[in-house]
Amino acid sequence: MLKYIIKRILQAIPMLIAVSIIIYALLQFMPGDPLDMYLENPNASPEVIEKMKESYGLNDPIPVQYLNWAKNLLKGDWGRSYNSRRPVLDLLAERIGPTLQLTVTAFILSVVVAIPLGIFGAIKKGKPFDYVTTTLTFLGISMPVFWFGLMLQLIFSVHLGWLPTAGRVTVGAAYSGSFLDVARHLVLPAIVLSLIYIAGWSRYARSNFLEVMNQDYIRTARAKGLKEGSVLGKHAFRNALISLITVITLDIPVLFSGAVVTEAVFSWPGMGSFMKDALDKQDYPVLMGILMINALLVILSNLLADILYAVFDPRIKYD
Amino acid sequence: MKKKIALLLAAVMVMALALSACTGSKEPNETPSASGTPSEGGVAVVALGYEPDIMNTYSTHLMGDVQATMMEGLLRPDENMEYQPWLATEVPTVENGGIVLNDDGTMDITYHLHEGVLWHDGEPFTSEDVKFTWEALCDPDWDAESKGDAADIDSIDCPDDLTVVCHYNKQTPDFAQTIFTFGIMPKHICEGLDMNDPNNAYHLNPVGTGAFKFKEWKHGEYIELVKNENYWGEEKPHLDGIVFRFITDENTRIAQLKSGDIDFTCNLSFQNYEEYANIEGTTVAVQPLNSWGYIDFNTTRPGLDDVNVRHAISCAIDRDAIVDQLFNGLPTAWYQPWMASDPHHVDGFVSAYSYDMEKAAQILDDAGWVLNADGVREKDGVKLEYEISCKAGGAGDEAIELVAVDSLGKLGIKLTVNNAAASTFTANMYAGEYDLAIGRYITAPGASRTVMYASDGLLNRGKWYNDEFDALSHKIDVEMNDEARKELVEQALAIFDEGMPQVITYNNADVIVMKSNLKGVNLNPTNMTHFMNPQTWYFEQ
Repeated sequence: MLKYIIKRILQAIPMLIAVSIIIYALLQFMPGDPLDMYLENPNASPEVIEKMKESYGLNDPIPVQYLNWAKNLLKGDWGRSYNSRRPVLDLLAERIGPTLQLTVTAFILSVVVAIPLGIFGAIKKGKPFDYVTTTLTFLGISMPVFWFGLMLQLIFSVHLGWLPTAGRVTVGAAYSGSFLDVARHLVLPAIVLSLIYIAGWSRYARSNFLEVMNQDYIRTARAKGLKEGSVLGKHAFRNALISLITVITLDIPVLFSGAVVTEAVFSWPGMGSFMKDALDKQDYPVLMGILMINALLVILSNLLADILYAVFDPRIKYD
Repeated sequence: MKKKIALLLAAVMVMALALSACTGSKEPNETPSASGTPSEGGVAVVALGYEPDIMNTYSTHLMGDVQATMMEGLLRPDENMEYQPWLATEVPTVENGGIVLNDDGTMDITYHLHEGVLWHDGEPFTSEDVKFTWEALCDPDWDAESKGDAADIDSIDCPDDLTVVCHYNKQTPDFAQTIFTFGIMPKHICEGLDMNDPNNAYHLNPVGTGAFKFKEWKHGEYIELVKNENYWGEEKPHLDGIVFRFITDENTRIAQLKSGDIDFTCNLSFQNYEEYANIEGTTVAVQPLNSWGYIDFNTTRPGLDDVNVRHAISCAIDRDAIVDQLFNGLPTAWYQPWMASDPHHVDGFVSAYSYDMEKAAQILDDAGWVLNADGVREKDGVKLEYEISCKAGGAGDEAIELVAVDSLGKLGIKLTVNNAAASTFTANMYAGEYDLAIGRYITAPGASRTVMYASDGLLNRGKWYNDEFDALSHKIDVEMNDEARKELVEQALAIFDEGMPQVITYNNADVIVMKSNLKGVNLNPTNMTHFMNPQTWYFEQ
């Protein structure tokens, strides 16, 4: 197993290099030049902008630009933002904390709600509970995230006044940034972000569970006279979990990078809103940083999914 | 800790005030005015639609809203776009001897500085700081975006701590547009710093002379400012602090107004007016800006190089309908590139080519552009078929675009929409890869339009070259007598309207919503922003 993990990690290196080249090339295909929009300022002379381009290395051929970027990355320098000129690593470090707060909360919330919802739906198949949850999950998948976010703000912040509308902390208060303060701000965005995963994963859990329930070994277990609770809990649940784990693990990078709209609606200072801003401004070094982290997450979560698969499914062995 | 508790108390008080002030006026178009004695204390929470990039007014690629509360210049434009003294004791003019015009076409400007002005760190503000600011801007290694007119000055003398004499290498009435108005930087902190470095001592802790001091910048979330207890001005700041929060989504800002989380926000879109017009406890204010909407022509395109076609297009654009029906009557229909708040504008001017569809058709008929079988006008094999573009996602521009497509279509000019992201759109325009483009300008006070419309203008992307306009425009640039300048503007405008390099559509306005009990706010039409004069802000009890 250890040998397998090391092999996979080594395989990830050429993969990351290939991904970085592809992303770098794709970003260059974006029409326009990152600094050209500053030309609109009547106070900005073309000479100044030309000088900025030169100092950012934007006049070098693209392969040279890439090699410079890669060389610096190996030295631990992720480059500087074209926009604020601050080091990309500093910017990412600021953003990753809030994003983790939001995505981890949403992830836990999704798992805790989706799996029981799916299983009960399967057990009560054809009963009102099943119909209600199926309809609700369908709604959850189809509802636009920004609209749902605004509705929650309207109900819970504007009308009821229970929760803050946006932001991560209360500014200027003594309790600003405390656990409870952040938790209060986290409730609405976490619900909005988890909605689509609750909907998706619970439907997946339901159909998985139904499939397992029709397997021969479940019939055998019942025939042996096992109690229904132990049939469901021991045999069905564990087997239904196997493929669910794969789906959930592979969704982690999507969850991580998919918070763009939620973060924008709730002014959550994470990677998502940051990426949107960097895209608008064609801030290549920042975009490269964010996208490389995403690529790394995809590779790691694939590896994690494979490992978990082996742990939970005794039929699978890696050498 | 004590300070934090004080802030908490202040915040609670603010909230209590907000709750008790639900009866405030909701009349639109009413600028809040100060009344009674200002009360002390409270923290104003301002929601900005963006996060600043760097705490330096010369380097920033964005508006200097936050910077304006901390940094001060020698002069400042007031709400009528006339310069008022700020760190200087008076506005230099030829009459008061502050400006000396030399026979060789140069001039010398003398500023007298206020006594007893202190930087936020307690050091005295002197003429050396003014000189240093100019020197820093002249340094070719500093890639500041707004170096503006620093190159117009050859040398600066500081005969004493409170006197600055600037030797200009030309005569320009617009000397106050950028340098010394944007702000003065402290020599004792900035000297020797790499000004390109956003993490240098000055950018991490910007020290100014303004009414509020920098406290903290929580990236992605907010910037917190606290009152400058030692402010030099006669009126001391009333608020304990100002917090700028960055909330990019406009709907979220509106929700925050409704929940009472924020006290002030600006730059709201005209189309959302219904959403924010009647929020309990808030007041809407409309501030006309020194900014205009336009439809720009690439005059090198076959067909668009014919001034008759440009005139006809101007006649087909119903500015009144755009403003009233699309923009809820918030901005003003406008026909000249000098705005209502600009003392140089021509009063009551209406283009000779204002909305008149019959006239538009007549102009095209007379010029020989005839409808072909496809319903498109054509002449000598040139068809009036163009692309029209604007920044994608700019709801106002996109609305105008649709009006243009519809109304020009009726005239026999076929437009295809081709919008792009902001940076692409701008790059295309500068590369001359566009036919018609919709956009907006905002500019500093001053009558000069050379940069936009003269042949040597950097922003003249449509390549409209008109010798008469050039000559007048270059005269406007150097005319020191304001009355003479206004006459030149009037002549230039006549040529502009006949040459029609751009259809001017509306005099842009900023829509602001603030708590009804927030008073003393000085809205400003210029790029120096509404936050330039924050010591007068206070919460009414």
